[in-house]
Amino acid sequence: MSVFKIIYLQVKFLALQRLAYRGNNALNIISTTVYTTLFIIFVVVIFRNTDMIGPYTKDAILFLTLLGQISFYFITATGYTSAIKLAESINSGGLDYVFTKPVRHLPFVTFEGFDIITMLFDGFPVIIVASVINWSLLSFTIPSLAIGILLFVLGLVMMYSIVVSLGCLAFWTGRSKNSIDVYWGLMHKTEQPIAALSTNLVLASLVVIPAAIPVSLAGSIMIGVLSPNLLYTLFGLGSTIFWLAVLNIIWSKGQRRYVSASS
Amino acid sequence: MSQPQVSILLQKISKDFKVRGNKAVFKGLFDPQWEYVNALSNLDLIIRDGESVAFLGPNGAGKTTSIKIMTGLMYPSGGEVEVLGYTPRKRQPEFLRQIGLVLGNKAGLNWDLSATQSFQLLKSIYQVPDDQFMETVDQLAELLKVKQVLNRQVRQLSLGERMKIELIGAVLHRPKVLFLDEPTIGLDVDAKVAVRGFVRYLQQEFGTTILLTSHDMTDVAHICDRAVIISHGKKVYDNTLAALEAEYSTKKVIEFYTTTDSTKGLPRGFTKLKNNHYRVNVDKVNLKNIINELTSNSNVDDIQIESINLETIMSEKFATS
Repeated sequence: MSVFKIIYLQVKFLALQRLAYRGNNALNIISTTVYTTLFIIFVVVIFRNTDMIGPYTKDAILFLTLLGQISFYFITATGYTSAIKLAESINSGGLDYVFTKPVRHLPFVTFEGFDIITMLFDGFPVIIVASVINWSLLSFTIPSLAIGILLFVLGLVMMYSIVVSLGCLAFWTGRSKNSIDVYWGLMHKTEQPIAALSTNLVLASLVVIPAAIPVSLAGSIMIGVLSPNLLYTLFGLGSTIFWLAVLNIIWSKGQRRYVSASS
Repeated sequence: MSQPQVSILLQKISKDFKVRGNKAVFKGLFDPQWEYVNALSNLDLIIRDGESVAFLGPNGAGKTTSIKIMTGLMYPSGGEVEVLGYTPRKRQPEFLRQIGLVLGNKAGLNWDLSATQSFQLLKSIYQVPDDQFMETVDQLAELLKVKQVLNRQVRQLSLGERMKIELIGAVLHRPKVLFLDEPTIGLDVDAKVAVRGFVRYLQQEFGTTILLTSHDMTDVAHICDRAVIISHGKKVYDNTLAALEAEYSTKKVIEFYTTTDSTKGLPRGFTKLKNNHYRVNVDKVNLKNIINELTSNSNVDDIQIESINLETIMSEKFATS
């Protein structure tokens, strides 16, 4: 119970800090809104000339875009900021005050940058995407929604683990700005029309672009373009467990290397 | 009467750091050569419950490395460490709940939050009961005279106020052992006096074991009863401050001023402090002779005789170690 209380307070206090700089947050809405609007226009223009891309309609692609945006803003405002903060702390010796506290250190550092205010501000354009989708043209069923949402959540946990693992590389390299920036490549174009591929190719592409699991795979299953089969579910679960294990191993080996910046 | 229990036990502690030996940048890229720098070597130390110990030494002696090993921040390369019966590097919550750490030049509190908000987080982390929390914050804030700034953002506080708030945060959970690494660095005189008084209060009122590193010997004199001096990672002195001062009680310091730059006829072993301003440490038995020598020298303008202070004692110890 105490772990959740601590995480709650971390998130709450970070939100209070961010609210102290609300002007900066508000300005960021402009760039995310411009990007999202341009992307919607791009999709609309493409679907002027065709009704379908593989098994995907315009609304299906916009739905994948919506999931892509939600996962991007979620991971960026939580895992990415935590990874940046962690790498800075490793470099500056800021973990001195973490490692001497009686808390579970990995959850503590991974939730230190859980920034809901930035997520809400930056993620505002998600509303624009949601508003242009014709929801009545998407066919949801209970089993496909259940499996899709499960894969979406697992995918977010997996991406969170990947990006924090990238931050942990600072235990070896001193700085990890460049390794954390691999994240931007991983999160790029996650809304791929993967249902146009065979099952083996779908799985292969998800190994290469794991960030597509919470977007393309979960989204395609939710709207019935891919069937909610056991193989995909196990693949999503397996990938998440794998990356969680990687994070734990990197963390456990990394913290032994922590020497702390001298005072 | 039985001796108090051991709080901190260090046995043959050593710590080596692996550093890059290459001086040539390009050669180092392809053929890295590593060297080991020895920061601590066979360090033994016993500190008992309720003791207040100064951990002293010149820069680079290994003081901070030792504190980091004792708090579990670093893994020793060799030897055994026990603090309150725990192995620090295991970072067990039961152990961490009983220690406090203040690093004078590292901020432990969030700059964008108020002290009260930071204390709330610490309260949850250390599971401090509500009534104890309220009472402790109230009492300590009163003692350090920072009650009026508790709801201000930490970034808006002065350095002295920040350090006082850091100290309160470090002892909210009433640790059994408090590690202080240069807690008064950069503080003004009033803030230093308040911090010293506060730390001494903790030791006397709650029996907190204190381990202090500081380059300010007034801190040491006010807070500590015992001094451990290390140099090049080795312990070179370990005794009470009273014993250390007694060791030097047979010595006196003579400071004198001359009218010219000439050093002809001045006593042997003098140190030049400034232009025409010199100091010499002498044994009490020789005091009369030296004074006679100085007063008979027409070049000497003014003379001061003082007991040797802790700062001078330390600088002699560092120099001879």
